[in-house]
Amino acid sequence: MSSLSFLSPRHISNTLGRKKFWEVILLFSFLLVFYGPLLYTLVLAFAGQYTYPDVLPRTWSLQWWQYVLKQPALVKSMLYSFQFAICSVILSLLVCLPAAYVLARYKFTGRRLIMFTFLIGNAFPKIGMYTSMGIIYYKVGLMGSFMGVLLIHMLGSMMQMIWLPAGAFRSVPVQQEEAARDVGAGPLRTFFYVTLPMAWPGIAVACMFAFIGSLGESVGTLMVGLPTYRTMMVEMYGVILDYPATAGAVFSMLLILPNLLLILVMRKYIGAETMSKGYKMG
Amino acid sequence: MNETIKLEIQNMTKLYKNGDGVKNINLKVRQGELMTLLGPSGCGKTTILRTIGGFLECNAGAILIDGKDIADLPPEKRPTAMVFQSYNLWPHMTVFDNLAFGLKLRKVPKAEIADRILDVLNLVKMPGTEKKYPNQMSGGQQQRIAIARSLLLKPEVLLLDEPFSALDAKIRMQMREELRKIQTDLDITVVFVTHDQEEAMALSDSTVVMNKGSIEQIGSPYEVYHHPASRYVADFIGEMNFIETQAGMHTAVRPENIRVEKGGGGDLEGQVRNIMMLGHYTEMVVQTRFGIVKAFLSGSEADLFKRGEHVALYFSDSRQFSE
Repeated sequence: MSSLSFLSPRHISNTLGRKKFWEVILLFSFLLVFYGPLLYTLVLAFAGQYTYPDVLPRTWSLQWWQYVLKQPALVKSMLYSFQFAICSVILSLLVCLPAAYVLARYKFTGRRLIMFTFLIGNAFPKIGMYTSMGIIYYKVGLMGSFMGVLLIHMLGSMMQMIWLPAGAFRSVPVQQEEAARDVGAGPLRTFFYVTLPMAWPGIAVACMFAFIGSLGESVGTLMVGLPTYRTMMVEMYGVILDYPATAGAVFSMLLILPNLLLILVMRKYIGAETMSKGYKMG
Repeated sequence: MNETIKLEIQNMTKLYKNGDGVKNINLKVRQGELMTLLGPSGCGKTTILRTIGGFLECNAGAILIDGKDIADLPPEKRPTAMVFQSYNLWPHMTVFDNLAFGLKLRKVPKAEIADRILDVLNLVKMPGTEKKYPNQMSGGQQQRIAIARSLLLKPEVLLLDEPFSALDAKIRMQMREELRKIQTDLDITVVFVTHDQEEAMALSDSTVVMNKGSIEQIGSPYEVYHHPASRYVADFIGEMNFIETQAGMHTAVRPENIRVEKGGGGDLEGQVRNIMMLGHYTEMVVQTRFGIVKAFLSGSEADLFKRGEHVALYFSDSRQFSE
């Protein structure tokens, strides 16, 4: 018996017990399927000399990163992606927060219907919406414009930016706002000094979703943004076809990185409570 | 407290869509008076309070403070300050910021803000808490700060909406006493809403007993207790026996106004059903031909009787109510 006999399946099976053994196998398979491609992409991105039949690269290097960052079209697409993401989130905030506040605080007829319509936008594939938008854009001259693409990005996140902040505003007890009015603050000051700071976690989560959603927006931007406004997602289609796999891997990493960083930063805000409060019809 | 009318409500009506609300409310509160609005949930007391504070618009009527009608003013422009049952303090601000908020709005200079906060914290017996956050304090402490914040603004009328209901019984008593002391020392006019009749009795200069949107009686605690104007008031305040002597006629007498003697006769006779020691007094439950009657006796008096004995009940200060 070699010293590694403890690794034999039979040994492991006996140690863990039959049921647990299959559970572990199942978990491993799942993790492999789920993370396997990502891991492979990660490996590709940092590959130096990597030829068949090696499982892992013989040398590691940053050469493909230098390569990608030297392509003007790709670098431009990265700038556009972030421009659209930041602008669409800010504009969304300006438009959706007041609406969210009204929907949270005032019970008018048709309120539930209006909240429901925002849900509908996410209920079916957006291509239908984009096509009809495209037709209107041609008429209005928004085709191929910055604003046109921005609107597409904003629409994609509308549900998040209305429902989640509405839930966040609703969770601020009315007495807190009344107390502010009582001591002499007008409605606007009350909103900025009391309501907003208290509703901030829910709004931050909504912004995060909107930002990530904007970075991932592809079909609509493709339809409306060409030829000028190509975001990373739009360029990705070309990169897969025209560039070597390693460059594609680097580009993927560049796309994934901001999302990952955002989620890590927002970890403490994304709780079950914030989410569940956000999706109540109320 | 003097005789000038500080707050006057004239013919005020506020009705909600479902028909609840208050109709034709007329109230006069004198300078330095503590008036309590007392009643069960839904009787309209909070509606009246919130109308005074500006958080509800009344359908009709006038609200006058020092003779000026404030009914059209938004809450931030009214000379009133309100303390809610809970959620008074802003959790993302320290005690100091909570207190300074209103003063900063009024452009009070920084040094003066700091001095006034120091004084008011001493007044509510919470010195040194400036840097604390509300969630680091107990409910009672938070309410003290809330009261302090209202006092800082030197309101013409202080409004309190069941401020102690969410606190434990012992703290409640303590807060009541302190509030009363502060109120009388500073001669502030206060309107206090509660559903606890004991609290109303203990605190008020005058009590407004309410039922289903209208006022049943206005009077001092003594008047309301000893001379209730209606069956509702008699029942709501304190303990009351209602004995249906004839069809439709009830004799109302308080348990402490019943004298118990051995044998028969008296205003009503009966049999002792139960004797319960309740601390510094004893409750005796007597079965009479008209139903159960409760009497309060001192410990030594109650010792003279046993369960099952025939007793005679003598009433003093009883009154008749129909229905």
